[in-house]
Amino acid sequence: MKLVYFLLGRLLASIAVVFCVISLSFVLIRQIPGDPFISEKDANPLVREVIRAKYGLDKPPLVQYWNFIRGAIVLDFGPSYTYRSWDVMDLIIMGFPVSAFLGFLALTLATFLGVFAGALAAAKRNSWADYLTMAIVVLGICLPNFFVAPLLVMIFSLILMWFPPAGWGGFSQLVLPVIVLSLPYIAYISRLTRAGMIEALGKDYIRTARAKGLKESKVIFEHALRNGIVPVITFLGPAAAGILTGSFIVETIFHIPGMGKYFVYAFINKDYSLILGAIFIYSLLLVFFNFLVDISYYFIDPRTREN
Amino acid sequence: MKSIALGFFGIVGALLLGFLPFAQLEQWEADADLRLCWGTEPKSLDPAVITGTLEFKYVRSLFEGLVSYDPKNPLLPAPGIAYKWEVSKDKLTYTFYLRENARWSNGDPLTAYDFEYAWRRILDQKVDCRYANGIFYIYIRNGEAYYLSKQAERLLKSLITTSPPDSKKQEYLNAIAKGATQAHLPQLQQLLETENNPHFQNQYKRILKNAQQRPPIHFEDVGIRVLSPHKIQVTLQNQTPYILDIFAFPTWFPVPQKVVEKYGDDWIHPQNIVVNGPFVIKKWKPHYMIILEKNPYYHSPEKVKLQKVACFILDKPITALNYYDTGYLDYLTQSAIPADLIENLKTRPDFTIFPTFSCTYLRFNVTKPPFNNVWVRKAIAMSIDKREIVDVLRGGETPAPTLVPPFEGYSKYQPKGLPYDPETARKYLKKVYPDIQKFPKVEFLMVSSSVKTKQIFTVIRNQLKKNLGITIEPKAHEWQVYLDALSRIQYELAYGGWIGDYMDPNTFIDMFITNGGNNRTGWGNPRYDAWVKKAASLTNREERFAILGRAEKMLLEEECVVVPLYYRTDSFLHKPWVKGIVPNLGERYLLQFLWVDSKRKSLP
Repeated sequence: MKLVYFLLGRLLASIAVVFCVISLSFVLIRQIPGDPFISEKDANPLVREVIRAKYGLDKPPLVQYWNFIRGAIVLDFGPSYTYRSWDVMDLIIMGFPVSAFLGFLALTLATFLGVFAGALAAAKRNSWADYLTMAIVVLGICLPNFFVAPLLVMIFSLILMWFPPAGWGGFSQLVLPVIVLSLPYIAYISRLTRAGMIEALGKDYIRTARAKGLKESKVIFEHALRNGIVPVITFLGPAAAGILTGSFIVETIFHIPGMGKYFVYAFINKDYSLILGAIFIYSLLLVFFNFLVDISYYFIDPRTREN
Repeated sequence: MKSIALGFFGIVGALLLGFLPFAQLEQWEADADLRLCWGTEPKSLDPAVITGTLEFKYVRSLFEGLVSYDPKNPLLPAPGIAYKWEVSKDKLTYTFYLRENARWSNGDPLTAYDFEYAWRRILDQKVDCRYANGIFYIYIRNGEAYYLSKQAERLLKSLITTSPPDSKKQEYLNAIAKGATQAHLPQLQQLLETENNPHFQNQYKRILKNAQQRPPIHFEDVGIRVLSPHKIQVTLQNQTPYILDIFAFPTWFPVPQKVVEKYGDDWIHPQNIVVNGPFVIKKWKPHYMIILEKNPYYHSPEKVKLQKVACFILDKPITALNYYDTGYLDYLTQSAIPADLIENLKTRPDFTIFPTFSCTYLRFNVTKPPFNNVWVRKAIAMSIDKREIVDVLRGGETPAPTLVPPFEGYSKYQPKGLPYDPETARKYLKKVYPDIQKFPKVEFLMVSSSVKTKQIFTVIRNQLKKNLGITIEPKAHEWQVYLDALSRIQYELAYGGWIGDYMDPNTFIDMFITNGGNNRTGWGNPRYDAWVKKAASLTNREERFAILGRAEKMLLEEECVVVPLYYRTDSFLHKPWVKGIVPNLGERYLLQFLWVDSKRKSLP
């Protein structure tokens, strides 16, 4: 019963958050300078009124807001202002699965590699293996993907010709973008794992396991890892949201038809409907992943159950 | 604990993996004859709405007007949907004979009514046609009067139903004053009765008085006449020597009446669109790729040699170049080539660079100090060394003494433009600002995303500092905000550029008529306006060019409203197996003129 109340409370809070986010965005984007329909060939500015009226921008702000909220509830954000051949939902339906799939691969890779590297570093603490892994990890955090991506393209596509330089469709085209997208997450996850593992390896049950004569690999990857990995799980929620919203640069450089770029181009083009649609979807996602994390806390940390 | 970890990861994983079927992993471009990149995502495919060169490339592949271009020399008109036309003796009436086998891509016959419908759609302001004035109604007899009357009707309706702020209302009233006729008297009367502000009351009274003098104008009065389903006649307002070039412009293209009426603005959605050109859209994934296929209903299928074309939509030119160099792309146009690499590409045999009919220039805001003074403007113009700008840009540009790029027959009437002469410039500036410290703060309005404008700014800032001792500050905005500031004339000094819409000096000169929508400097001169008007009514090429040259002299030398900086270039990269590309001034590359020979390599 407690769980049901907990879930209901979280759900209501989540809905309130999404509502606030899109309402605030609705107000804020209208304050950005620039007109979505202006053109370098505007001989007669009054022509713009025709299209503004079609998109309902001639109506009073409150009416516009009401129409927007009504649409958002049924996931209809109307036509995109810049891409006139598409409705906002068309763009999201086509782009989102691509970003999600790419993000899934990157996150999977990041989790496995990160956990493995972190566990290894913790096991061989203060050895050259530890220093080397952690050095690579720090590099992974520091190097921005707009630097790493062109570098990998140059090495693996232009010089070695192992992978296509960009594109979407073949599995070979997935390799480079997935690596670039996952690099910072590998770094974070391995650091988290290392810290968790070091703590776990100091515990009494590890000494017991070793005293029993268990193989060292079994001690590390079965006994210690179970506890050492807990911080990583709580990190996966925000990481999943971050990887989905942060794929703009990778999508642009690698020519991937995902949703990340709409988030940026919609702002540049003052495409109100697309901005709001994208913000709505992303805020839903963020809230959803935080919701998952909250639930996991409920199980992991008994203290959250008490209130 | 393990089960929670697994469960959590399982939920996230299942959710994301669930998107795999929708992520559509398939290679569309694999069996295309030609893979090209024209740049980024096209914003619209409606021939009446588009304004960008990128959109023109798509629309010219999908639609065709009465007149098209000659494949051997794209600057010359050639039969399009009309297989022939007759010109009356007074050169005012053009009768077009449409091909009997012209069809829409859904199989419906294409008739003169589709043209009439498309043109009326613009005149009745059913679409936001930015070219309505510059390329369209001013050429048609009574086109302007009809358009303005329709505009007055639209704005009156909007004034009755909504209450815009005073500044907008004033803008509306100015436009209504130009177009109101006897047909609008009831609405005007109604608005006058409900108006409380005496300032607007007076304006309504004046508009009413003028409207009473103007008889109503109907579509029947406009010089557009359908003579039979395959014959359409256009009567011009003035004799226009370059009118065939105008007829070939996308604004004049037909639209499928039935489809537009059925879907409204959604008719250009990929699942609805019906076209009449050499290609149809087969697949489209935004910001990724458009697959064009030969249109089976095109009137001359034997002339279209490409069966399937993959148009890559790329936001970063460097990605396009990587694709090209690794063999995934066959053909890149300028917007898909990294501007900063052009210098390096020049030595490659597959790279072509050539001049275009376009100019980059500086605009002055002449409505406020310091540039309301012509001597200050001249001082600025004469202390900019254009050679240095071109040397910095290194994209093959040439320094521009005049606004109109070199054009056959016009050059001998063209002014020389102000020379680079810092000595005289300093003298001019001293006349107005004896103490240079008193020179006001000046900002240079430019586009933040464009590297070129930043380079131009740096050179100009250094030159003005060195030659005149004045400092200008950068003011970089995103494209939309930049345009907004320009059109409100809220700047001091601004970057500007113009690509000729048709092959005549007039496309540059008529920009600067008083209150012209693309003027954006606040400058106006009745003599200039009169010359432009006079030139439009002349048929003798020499006489016309002489007058346009006189106008350009005023614009550049006497009034110095703009400072031409350089003429732009166009360039492309193409593999040896891509044939049929003819470099031309007008950037006219029709996809149906291209073919690939058998030596083409397959996808790597």
